[in-house]
Order: sequence, then C-alpha cells, then structure tokens
Amino acid sequence: MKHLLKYNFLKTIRDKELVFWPLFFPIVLCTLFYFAFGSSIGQNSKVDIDVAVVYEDNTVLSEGFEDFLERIDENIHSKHMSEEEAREALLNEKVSGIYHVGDSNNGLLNVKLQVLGNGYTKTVLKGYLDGYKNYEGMIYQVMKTDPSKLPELIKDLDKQIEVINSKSLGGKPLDPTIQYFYALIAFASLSGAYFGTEIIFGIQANISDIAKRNSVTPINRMKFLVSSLLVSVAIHFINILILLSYITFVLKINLGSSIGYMILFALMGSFVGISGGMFVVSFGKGSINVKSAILTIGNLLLSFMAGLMVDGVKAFIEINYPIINRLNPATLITDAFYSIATYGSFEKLKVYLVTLTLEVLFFLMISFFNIRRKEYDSL
Amino acid sequence: MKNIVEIDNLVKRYGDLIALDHLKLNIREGEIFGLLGPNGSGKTTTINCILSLLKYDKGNITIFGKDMSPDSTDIKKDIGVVFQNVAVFDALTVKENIDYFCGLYIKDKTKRKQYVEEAIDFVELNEYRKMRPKQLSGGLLRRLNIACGIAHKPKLIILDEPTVAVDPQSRNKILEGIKTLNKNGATIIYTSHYMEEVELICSRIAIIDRGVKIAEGTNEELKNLIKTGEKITVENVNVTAEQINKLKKVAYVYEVDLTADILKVSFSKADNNGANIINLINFLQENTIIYGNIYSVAPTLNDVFLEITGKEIRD
Repeated sequence: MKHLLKYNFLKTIRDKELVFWPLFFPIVLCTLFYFAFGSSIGQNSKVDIDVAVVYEDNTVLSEGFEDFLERIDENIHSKHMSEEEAREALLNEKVSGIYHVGDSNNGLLNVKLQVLGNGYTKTVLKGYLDGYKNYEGMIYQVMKTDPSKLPELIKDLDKQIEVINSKSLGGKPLDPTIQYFYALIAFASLSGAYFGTEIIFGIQANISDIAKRNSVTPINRMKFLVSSLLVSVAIHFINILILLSYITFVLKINLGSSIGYMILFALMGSFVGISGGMFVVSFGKGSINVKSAILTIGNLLLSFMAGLMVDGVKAFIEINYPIINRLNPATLITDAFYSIATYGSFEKLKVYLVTLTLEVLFFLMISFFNIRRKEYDSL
Repeated sequence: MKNIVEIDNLVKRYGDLIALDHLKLNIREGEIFGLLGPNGSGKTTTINCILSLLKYDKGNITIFGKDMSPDSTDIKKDIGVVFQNVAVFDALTVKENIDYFCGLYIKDKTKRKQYVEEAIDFVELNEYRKMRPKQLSGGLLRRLNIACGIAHKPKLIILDEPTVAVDPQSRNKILEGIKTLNKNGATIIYTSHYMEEVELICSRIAIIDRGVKIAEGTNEELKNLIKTGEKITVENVNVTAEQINKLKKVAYVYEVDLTADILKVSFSKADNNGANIINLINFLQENTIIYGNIYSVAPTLNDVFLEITGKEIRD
C-alpha cells in the first residue's frame, strides 16, 4: 500500500494538467475576477451608491424591491424617479444605475438594470438584483407548493438579509461580488473530476493500457482504487486550501471567519469533484481526451448554473427548476461558502453537507458498480 | 518436459465473429513459444484470455497446473507481461517506472532495488534512468516497456508484439534480450506477425489464422509440412515465354514467376543434393539467356502460411 501511495503521489503531483486545471486555473480566474471587480472587493470598505427606481406604466406599485435594497445594504440609496428623470440623472452621473420595475405574467416583479459602463458599481447593483430575484423565486416556489410555509420562509429571508447587512464578515456588509468567488471555489472543487478520471483509467482495463498492465499483477484492484482515491483527495484538498489561502491572504478578500467549516467544505468539495469524475468516466469506453472534454463541459455547465459567469442564472433556476439548485454540487458548495460568510446559526450548512455526502456516496457506489468487472467482453 | 500453459478448446466470440475457434496450445517449460499470424488472427485475443482479461465462451486455461482466473494472485505473481502498446507513466522516470511495476510483485525493498538495477542493465537504459518516457526514442521506450514487464524475474513471460515500430538496432537488442531471459530460465510466449523474428528466436511455433491454429511445431517441422523448397531469384533476366515453359520442365522446378525482369523459380523439396542452382545456371546458359544477379533462399514461415492459407502473413 505504501508503495502505491508513494507512486500515486509522485505521478499525480508531476502531472502538469492535473496541477493546472484544479489549482492554477482557478487561481488565474480569481486574479482576473479581482482585477475586473476592482481591488476594493471584499475589503468591506464599500462606497455609497445612488440608484434610480423607475416603475413602468400599469405596474402595481410595490415597495418590496426598494425595501429589499435598503435593507440589504445601507450604502445603497434608491430614489423613485420617472423614466426621463432617471435617464437624465444617469447621464449626469447623479445615479449609478436605473432599476426598471414592471409586472411579469406570473405575478413576479420584472426588474431590469440599466447602467453606463462596467466596473464595481455595476457588479454590485447586478448582484443585488440577482439576490432579489433569488429571494423572490424562493417565495414564489413556496407559494406554489406549500403556502403555509410562507411566513416561516419570509422570517428566514428577513433574518438572512439582516445577517448579511449587519453581522457578516466581521460586522461589515457582504459585498455581492464575493458570490463569484464562492462559485469559483465550487468550480475548483469540481475540477477534482480530472483526478477521478486518472483513478478510473488506472483500474479499468478495457479503457487504458496502464490499467491492463495493473490488472495482470497480483495486486487487488481495491488497493489500486483506495490508494489512488486517498492520494487524489489529499492533493485536491490541499489545492482548495491553497486557493482559499490565495483569496484570503494574497487578494485580501474576506471569506468569513469560520475556518473549521471552510476546511470541512473544502474537503467535501474535493470528494464530490473526484467522485463525480469517477462516476462520469466509469460509464462506457472512450479515450481519456473525450472523457476529459465531457468533464470540462460538465464542470463549466454546473458552475455556470451556480453563478460563476452570470449570477442571474442561479436565480432563474431557483424560480423555474429549484430542484437543480438543491442537487447541483456547484450550487451547494457556492451556497455553503455564502452561508459560512453570512449565517450565524449554520443550520443550512447541515443540509448542504448531508446532500453533498449523499452525492459522494452515490457517485462512489455507481463508480464501483461500473468498474466491478475483472474480465471484459472486449478490450 | 511439463506444460507451463495449457489451452484447451478455447472459443472466443465477438458477437457473430469467432475470434478463437477451439484453440488448443501447450506451452512447455523452458521454451520460447512463438504465436505467429497476421494482424487480426487472434494472437492478442489469445494472450488476453490467458491473462483472464477477456471472458471466453468455452474452453479451459491452466497455468503452472492451476486454473487461471482474475483472482489467481498466486499465478499472476510469476507472470510477466509486455503488451503491444507501451504502458508506462509519463510522470515517472525510467527507474521509477520499473520500480513501480516491480514493486507490485516484489515487496522486499532490498531485493526489489537489486531487481530494478538488473532490469535497467538488461535493457541497457542506464544512461536514461532519470529521463521521463517522453524524452525517449521509440526503441528505448519499447525497452522500458519490456523492463517494466520482466523486472520481477517471472517464470513465464508473455510478450505481445514487442518490436512493433522499433528500429532494427533496438529490435536486435530486444530479440537478444528475449533469448537471454529464456537462457536464464524463463518460459516465453512470443507473439508476432514478423516471421523472421519468430524463426530466429522461437523453439516452437504455432501459426494461427482467423482464430484457428493451422500448424504447430519447430521451425523445421513446419517447413516440412509444405511442398515448396528452395527459391532461386534471377535478376535482370531477358527471357521469352517459350523459354519459361521450357524451364518449367526442368527437374524439381515447382513454380516459375516472371515479374518485370525478375525471375523467381521455386523448387520442390525433394533432395537433389543442392544442385538446383547449378541446374538453373546451366539452363540459362544453354538457352543463351542473359541474366544478372542470381541468389537462392530457403523456404520461410511465410511460405508455410502461404501454402496452407493461400495468402501471405502480411496480407
């Protein structure tokens, strides 16, 4: 076993692709995010932002959105304006953006954001809009499925808003751009899938020559599996810790103070990424390049749905297909890190932890089942 | 001499295709057994069945007198395999690769260290020991592939086309190495579609085609199975159709073929005291036929295959 652990470790850390995708690529992305959002991100030194709110014709006036804005960030100052006034104010840089509020067909508010140019202010305003849509989506779902739970949900959401505004990140409001970094941590975790590929390609003799060679030795295949899984999880766990350290200590972005929970979810993320990769690769034959391409696309898609590229996607999914958000491991990891930074009780973390654990067990069980064969019909 | 491997009535189907058709082989202790056949004849399938990597439909395989199965660790520890495709880790050095695979068989560290050094010496990769596989040429890579398969000093070594895409110099080294391994006590199963290699190193040979064993025996025994004997080639020859017909009537001439200005004359195997070439030269001179180089070759395993199956091994 020691022999297998030693060489699994050596061949894994020397594999440039295995080091690049799960570690260096997220670090590069992090750095790009950092510069794209401005260096003040996550440092809790937020600036005042004036924003116009325009209600479209025939819209049933609702203070819900404005109320949300005021409560979520005391630095946001919304002003109710007419369309023309708002446009002029935007052109004269008296406001940083305009929220156009209208009714949609399903009774939800249809809010659109108009800003000039890019940068930090746009990201903040967009982030709050997405946050609002997220909350609205949750309320909509509960109303549709079980209205009796609505008071409880509203109470919970109110508590969250309160926490975000007053207790998170050491008493400072939570910067909405940090969401992208949480999604990036999730993306990095799921990149552990490449380790999973290597594990299966070392065992399944009908898809790789190395596995064929391993299979004719007197070593039990379970030993190959356990040793490579242990090494992969250990290395990927360190990858995620390096990423978290880079975000915290180099980029100086505050991810929260619950280090224990962060480490726990870094470990969980490593497991879910690696086991997910094993799960996908264990199905059918095919070259390592084809399977790696499938994993890359899969990871990007799950991370996209968790808000890595466009945060509004998560809110859209919450309204229309909430089950995806409950199951998508990237969303679960993103939400877990968000919760670590914002919640006092950490109650939701338990749900995320249990769901991720069940997913890991499911992935591993199916993978073991798929690779159980010792003799093949064809090679 | 006892049998190390016994294959009895082995049948392997891929859907409707019969890859191995009631194959029977006995590999004796201490021999280099050649499995010769064209690409797709079933050589690799046979090896994969022997190693319990492939399920087979019918038959029985025993190694060292025991039934072989995927869990036969006591059998596997004494087998070394060199597959057709190079299977080494790009991230490990030459020495580390050999040590890794040797370590899957040998637990004693001191013994393993010695075996690894011997394997490196054996394949002459000493000056490349710290290099990664990607830095090696095709021939050196093949030698590394072999070292990984034999470092643990197995009693039975299976080599599946180990010289494919190898330069002549490396090929010679590999073939010499295999003979040395055999001299050191290992029984060897060697598959190839290169008949020259099989002729050169194998003590017994089985020729298979489309999953069927068509002949088995020593090199000489196989050549005795066919009618064709010596083949004489005459280059730059200027000969008429009438003269060719006349040539066909010369004693022991079995077949005459003229392609461009190259004349190939096959003689039957009947013993005529090596006079075929003299008789042919006499014929050419008597008929005032102008000719260039003239040379004779003995029948090859390709001739055996050609006569039995009607096609060349490389078809």
